[in-house]
Amino acid sequence: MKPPRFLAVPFELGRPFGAPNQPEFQTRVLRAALQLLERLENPPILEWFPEDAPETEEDMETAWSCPVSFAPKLEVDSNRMNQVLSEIEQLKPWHEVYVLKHGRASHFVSGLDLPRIVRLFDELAQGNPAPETGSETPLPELIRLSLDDLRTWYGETAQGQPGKGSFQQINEWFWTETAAALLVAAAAVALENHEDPFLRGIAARALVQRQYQEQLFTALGKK
Amino acid sequence: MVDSSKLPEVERQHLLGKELDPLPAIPLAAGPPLNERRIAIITTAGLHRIDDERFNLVDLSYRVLPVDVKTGDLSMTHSSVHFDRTGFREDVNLVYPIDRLKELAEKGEIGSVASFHYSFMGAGWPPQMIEETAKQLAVLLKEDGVNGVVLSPV
Repeated sequence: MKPPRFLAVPFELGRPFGAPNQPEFQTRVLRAALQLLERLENPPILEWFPEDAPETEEDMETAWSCPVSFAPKLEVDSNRMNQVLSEIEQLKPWHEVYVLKHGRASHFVSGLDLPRIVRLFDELAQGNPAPETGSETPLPELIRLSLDDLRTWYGETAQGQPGKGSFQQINEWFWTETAAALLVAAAAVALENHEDPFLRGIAARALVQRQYQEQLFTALGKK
Repeated sequence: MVDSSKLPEVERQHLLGKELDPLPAIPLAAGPPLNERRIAIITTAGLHRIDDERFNLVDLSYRVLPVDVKTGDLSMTHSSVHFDRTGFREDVNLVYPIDRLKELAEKGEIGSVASFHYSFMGAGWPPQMIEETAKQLAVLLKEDGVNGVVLSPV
């Protein structure tokens, strides 16, 4: 591709302007991008932004780990939903801390509440191809929006906990240490055989992050 | 634009494996100095006002972000599960630096901030699929007097 001008930045995917709550740094990135507008040599004009995203003093001083110890994950399908609901109950106090810190929780985009989201993934994991959701949103959309909400809620509990977890740590924690992630992965495995090719595609590409698929699917006994 | 070497290897290979024809190189047009330009932001973060229509899994449309919408009233319904959203939840400027842009206008570093900004849901669509929409958007940007755009890829 040949965009006319682009500023290459050394930041993580999803963070084009560096780091949250770092206005001076964000301004430097934005300024560097805007200054490219005044250059007219033959496109593409490429510049590399020279600074790494800042870490806050809090990041450096306080290591993060989830203070809630979860029971070992059970393998039996019928217990998986209860395990996730129990996990959510244990995390709720931290979510309340997050809401106190930030003044609000993120708006749920699926329109479902957390128990209904968990039930949705559980029914999919158990092979129900058309769970009753009470929602008018088509199932494929509802599945990925529900995953968004589930990850958002878990992310907010992590952000409400002591220490300042980096987003990599929080992401790693969700996908490798929670029953919720295992339930989502189980739903993805079940959807691979769905008669709807669109849902099969979602299962393959839009549910479990690629770098965690092997680990989670192996844990589920999928070859 | 993120450095691909920072991505997990499986993600990096996925993105590098996308086949895209090179776009033709079009000579750049001269414009006024930056401190006289009217700037808009276009992001592919899948942002929209909370009461606006969500982005679908397969979606080439855009949403309008009026300059005066509160960042706390924005939601993200990007279809990709593969990027971090914790930063966006803490600070929308991480993907949509509207407050930073307004501050630059106040300092006189840019001429003004556009009345309307836009968000697509960037799930790696080939550019040719979105060309017609982009042309429509160009008309809207011109009507808003915009002569400089920052594209924020997410």
